[in-house]
Amino acid sequence: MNQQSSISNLQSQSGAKGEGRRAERNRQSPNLQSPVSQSLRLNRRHLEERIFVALMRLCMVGAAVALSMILAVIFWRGVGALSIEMLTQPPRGSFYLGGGGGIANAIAGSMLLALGATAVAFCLATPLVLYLHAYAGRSRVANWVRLTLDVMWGIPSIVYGAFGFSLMIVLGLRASLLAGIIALSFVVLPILARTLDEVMRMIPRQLAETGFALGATRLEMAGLLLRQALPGLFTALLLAFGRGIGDAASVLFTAGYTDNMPSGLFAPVASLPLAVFFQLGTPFPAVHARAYASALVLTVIILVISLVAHLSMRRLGRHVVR
Amino acid sequence: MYSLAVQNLNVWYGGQQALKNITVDFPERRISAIIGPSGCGKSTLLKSLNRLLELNESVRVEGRVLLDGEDIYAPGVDVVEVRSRIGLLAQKPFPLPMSIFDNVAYGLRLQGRNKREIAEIVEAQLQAVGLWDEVKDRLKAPATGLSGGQQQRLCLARTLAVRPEILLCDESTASLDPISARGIEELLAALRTHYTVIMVTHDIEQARRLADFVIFMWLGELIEQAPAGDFFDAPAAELTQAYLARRIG
Repeated sequence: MNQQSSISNLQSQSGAKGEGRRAERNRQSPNLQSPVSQSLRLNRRHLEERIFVALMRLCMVGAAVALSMILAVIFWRGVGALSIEMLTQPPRGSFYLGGGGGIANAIAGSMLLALGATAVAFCLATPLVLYLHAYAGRSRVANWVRLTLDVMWGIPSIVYGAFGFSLMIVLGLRASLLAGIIALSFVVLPILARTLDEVMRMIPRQLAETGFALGATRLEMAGLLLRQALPGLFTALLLAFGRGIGDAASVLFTAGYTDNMPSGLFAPVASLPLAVFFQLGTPFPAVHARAYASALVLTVIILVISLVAHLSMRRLGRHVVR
Repeated sequence: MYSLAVQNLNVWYGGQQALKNITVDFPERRISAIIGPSGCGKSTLLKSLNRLLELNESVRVEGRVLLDGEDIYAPGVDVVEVRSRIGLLAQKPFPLPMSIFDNVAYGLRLQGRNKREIAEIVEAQLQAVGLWDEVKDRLKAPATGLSGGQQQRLCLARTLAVRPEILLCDESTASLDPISARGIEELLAALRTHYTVIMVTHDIEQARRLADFVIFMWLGELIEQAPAGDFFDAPAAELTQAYLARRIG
């Protein structure tokens, strides 16, 4: 009975109507609840906590299981096809029928595409974000720039691919590494810029005050911001690179595909996501296994880069004020 | 030699008035303490003196702040130059994201001094704040590795290295342990022969120990300003008496 009433108390307190009733009860006698009902109530709250913690843990485990299953499937289906030849040689003529050769063309192509796009985006995003933080502040212009970047982030990469394709026609470019880098930079730019923007928002206002008080101009203060944001910049670059190397749609028309190793800015290049796509599209189990091996290579590249970035962040971050 | 005066200063944050018609003449080569309860406008007044206030976009300033007779808010005044003449020691020590040496050298490099000069001044300033012996073997180490008290002394050295004429201190001992705080107080006391020091403090005892001149503020208004002796022994305003007796604030 007691527990029943404490439950109904709980319910009534949560509603707006309950406020008045509770106030009234408190006025009549502030310590009306007996110690017994209070301890029952406490039990109930502990039970509540246990249930919700269990639910949260379940969600956490769910996410971990999903990730491990993806990794396990790729590993299990792909590791058999993995070989030195696969990693170091471009495909031979009969590759897509189960013949010899490897995906070195796609590994090199993807690295070049992602590196190029990240570099281009870095050159644009860093000055842009520094301007936002050192000059634009919370002005209307700054808000518009942020909104634009958010919209750009949301645009599907096939749209950038199509846009890049029309741009190629205007510029008279053929499907090439350069065209792929340009299209991929559109995908990567908003990610890099907005991540860096968020990193810089975390920088204490006191850094700017300190710089200005020592007689720094806004540009010199921007230099301080950049130093303080260095570890975050690294993370942002990593995120951008990871997103870039995995993107298939933007490079589909622009970078083209070739079985040759990359041979220059104006020649087409292969990429890992498209290598997976083309190999999965064949009817041969041996080629399917290679598709999974290619996916495994892509995943391992991303994992290694994450790890390296994580380790070097600590070194870069040793000057940073927290 | 250098003097700082405030005339009819009004400051608004958005629609809210934070400072109401403040007029003060800060005595040169003395320590002036601005005291008052939280939210009374003491930090606002301090930050209006080197135009750091305008980093806040919604702020509006009216009135004059005279540095050597010239209004620092007048059109055409170079704010970078004004700020380099007025040093600031903040409430929380904030080392720049660089080494111990570079922290002190930062302002000097902005001024375009040569390497030898910079090295000399850095050593001299670190010695002046009593930090040299503790850090001389690790000048290239990150400044973030120092303790809070050491960091605040480093910040003082950094501020003084650029030879400001006036030193502003915004509750500069509030975040330190008592021993470090006492160390900073002693340094400030020693500075008064060379600098005009203006400090904000919520600690009446600290003002009593250090200040030559005291300004008491309440809800954005200046209630009383007087030499420290008069201020503490015979406060004129009723509010001041109540505050000093800790009946309010």
